[in-house]
Amino acid sequence: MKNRVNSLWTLFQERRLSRRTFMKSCIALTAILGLPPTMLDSVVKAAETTELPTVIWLHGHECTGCSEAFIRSSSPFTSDVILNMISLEYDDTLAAASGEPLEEHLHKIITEKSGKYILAVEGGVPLDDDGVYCTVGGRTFKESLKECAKGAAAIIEYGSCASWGGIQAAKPNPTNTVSVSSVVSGKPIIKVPGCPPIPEVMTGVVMHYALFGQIPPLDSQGRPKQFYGNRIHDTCYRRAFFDSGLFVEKFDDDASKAGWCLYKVGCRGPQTYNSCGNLRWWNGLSYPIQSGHGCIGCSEKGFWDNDVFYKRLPDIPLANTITTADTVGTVAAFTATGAVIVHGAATLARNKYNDIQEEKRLKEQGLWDEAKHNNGGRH
Amino acid sequence: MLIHTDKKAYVVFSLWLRIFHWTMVLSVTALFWTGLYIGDPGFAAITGQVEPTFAIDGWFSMEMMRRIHFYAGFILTFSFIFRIAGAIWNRGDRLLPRFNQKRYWYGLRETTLHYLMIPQKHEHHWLRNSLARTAYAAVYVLFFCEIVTGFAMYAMIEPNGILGTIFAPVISLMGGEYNVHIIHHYIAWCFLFFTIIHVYMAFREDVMEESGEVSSMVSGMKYYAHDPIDIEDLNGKRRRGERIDKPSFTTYRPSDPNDPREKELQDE
Repeated sequence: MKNRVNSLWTLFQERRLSRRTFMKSCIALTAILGLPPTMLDSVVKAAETTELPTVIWLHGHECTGCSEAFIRSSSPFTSDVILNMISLEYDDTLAAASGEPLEEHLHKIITEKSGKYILAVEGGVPLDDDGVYCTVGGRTFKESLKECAKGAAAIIEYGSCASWGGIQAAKPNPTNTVSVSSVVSGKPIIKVPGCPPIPEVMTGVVMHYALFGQIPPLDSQGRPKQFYGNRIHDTCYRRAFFDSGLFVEKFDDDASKAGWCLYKVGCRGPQTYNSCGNLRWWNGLSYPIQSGHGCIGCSEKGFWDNDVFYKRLPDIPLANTITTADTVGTVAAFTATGAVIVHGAATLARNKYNDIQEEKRLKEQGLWDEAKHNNGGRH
Repeated sequence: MLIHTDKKAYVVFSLWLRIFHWTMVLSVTALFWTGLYIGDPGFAAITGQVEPTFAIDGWFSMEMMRRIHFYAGFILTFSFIFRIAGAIWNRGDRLLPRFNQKRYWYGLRETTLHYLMIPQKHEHHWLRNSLARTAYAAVYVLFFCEIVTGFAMYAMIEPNGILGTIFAPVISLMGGEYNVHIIHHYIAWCFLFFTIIHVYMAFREDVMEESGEVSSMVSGMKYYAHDPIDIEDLNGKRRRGERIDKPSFTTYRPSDPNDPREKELQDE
C-alpha cells in the first residue's frame, strides 16, 4: 500500500470491486461533476492516479445547516465521500473525537500536510470585538481560520455565510460578520453559496478538486460555473407558465394548485444562480419551486436583506414606509398631471389679466385703436 | 407662417436629432408600458378563460411583452448612441448646461421665477433655458442608467458570455442582480414625470412665445424676433461687445449684419 498512490482506483481494488464497477462510478462522477461525457477519459485517469486529498472542515458563525445538507448527499453518498474518497481529518461536528485531542490532531495535520490539504469552511467570520462572537475550542474563529488557511492548498466556502457573510450579516450586521474571502487572501477560493447549498453540489465540488487536483472553473463571483452557471429561472420547469403569462396570484388560488409560475408572489428565481432547477434536492426529489414556494434566492449575495420574499416589488426602503414604487409613481404621475393643468390654467389667467390691464392702459392713453391696427387686427 | 412674419427663423435641430428624438419617444413609450407589465404581469389572468396550452400565443403573454421590451430597448440604445454622436457635429444638438458660465446660473433663477409667474423686469429669450438644459442632461444620465441596468439583466441570460462578463462587475457594484431590477424599475418612473412636464412645457412655450417650440422637433426651426441670449451655442460666435460670462441684460444687440438672413429681413 505504501508505495502505491492512495487513489480511487486503489480503493476499488482494495474492496475487490471490478474494473467495470469502477468505470460505472467514473461515468456517474462525470455526470455529477457537471462535466460533458467527453471528459470521461480525464475523470478515469484522475481517479486512477490522483491521491485522495486531506480535508479540514471548519465551522464558524453559522447554523450547521450546510453540514445537515452535506450528510444527505446521495450521489455520491456522503459516507462514501468522507470515509473513502477524501480523508476528512477534522470536522468538529462530525468527528467522533472531541475536546483537546481533536484540536491537537488539527494542529498535527496542518503542520504535517501543510500546503496539501483542502480547507472547507462553513460559516461567516465575525470581526467586531476581535471576533469574540464565535469561538471554537476557546479560540476565536477568526484566529483559527487564519491559522488553518495559511497552509491550505485551496479553500472551499460552503454556504452563504462563508461565501457572503450570511444571515448574521443582515443589516445592521451587529457582529460585523464577513465572508471567509474577506479575511483570507492569496489562496484559490471556491464559493459554494446556498442556504444550504445543494448536497450534490457540495460533494461535487470537493470531488472535483479531489480528482483533478485543481479548482473547477469559476465565474466572475468565484462560484463553480458548472453548478452556478444558470439562473434558476432559466432552468425552472415552471418557466413555460412565466412565458405564457400565467401566474399564481395567491398561495391558495387555483393557479397555485395548477402549478403556475410563482413570479408574482415574489419568486427570486429570475435573479438567482444555482442548480436547483436541474439537479434538484434530495436525489432529484424536488426543490422549493416544485413544492409550490417561490425561490428566496438563498445563494445570492445579500439575499437576507431583499425581503419581503413574497412580493415581486418590495416596499420603498425607507423607515415606516409600506408602499411600493408603483403606487408612489402612479400617485405622483396624477399629481404631476394635475399640477401641469393648474399651472397651464394659471398661465392663461395671468395672460388674460395682463391683456385686460394693457387694454385699459392703452384706452386711457387713447392709443387703443392705433395698437389694434398695428397688430394687424390680431389681439 | 403668418404668425412668424416679424421673426427670424433659426435652424436649431438637425434632421438626425429629430429622427432619433421620435424613435426615442416611441421606444420609451413601449419600454415603459411593457416594463410595467413585466414588473406586475397578469393581463392573461385578468382577461380570463386562458387555455394554458395556447396562452403563449396571446398578445399579453409575458413572452410577447418581453420581446417588445427587448426590441424597444435595442432601438432606444441605438437612438441614444446615434443622438449623442450627432451632437458631436451639430451645435444645435448639444445645448448642454454650461455650468462654467454665469449666464447659466442667472438663467436658472430667471426661468424658475418665470415659471412661478413672478414678474421680472427683463426676461430673455433662450434657445434653451437653463432649467431645460439641466433637465435634458439629467434625462440622458437616466437613459444611460436604464440602458446599463437593462443590459446587465439581459446579459445574464448567458452569465459566462461576453455581455455577461462585461456586466457582472456592474451588477456586483450595484449590490446584486435583485437591486439592479429595483433600480431599473425606480428610474423608469422618472421618465413618466419627465414626459408629462416636458410635453407641457413645450406646448406652453409654443402658445406663449409663438416660437414654434412644438413644430421645432419636426421642422428643426425656431422663431425669434431677436437673437436669443445663448445664440452663440448655435453659431459659435460671441455677440459683439459682450463677454460671455457677463451678458448685458438690458438691451439686445442686433445680430451679425453680414448674416444673409439678416439682410433679407432688412430688405423686406
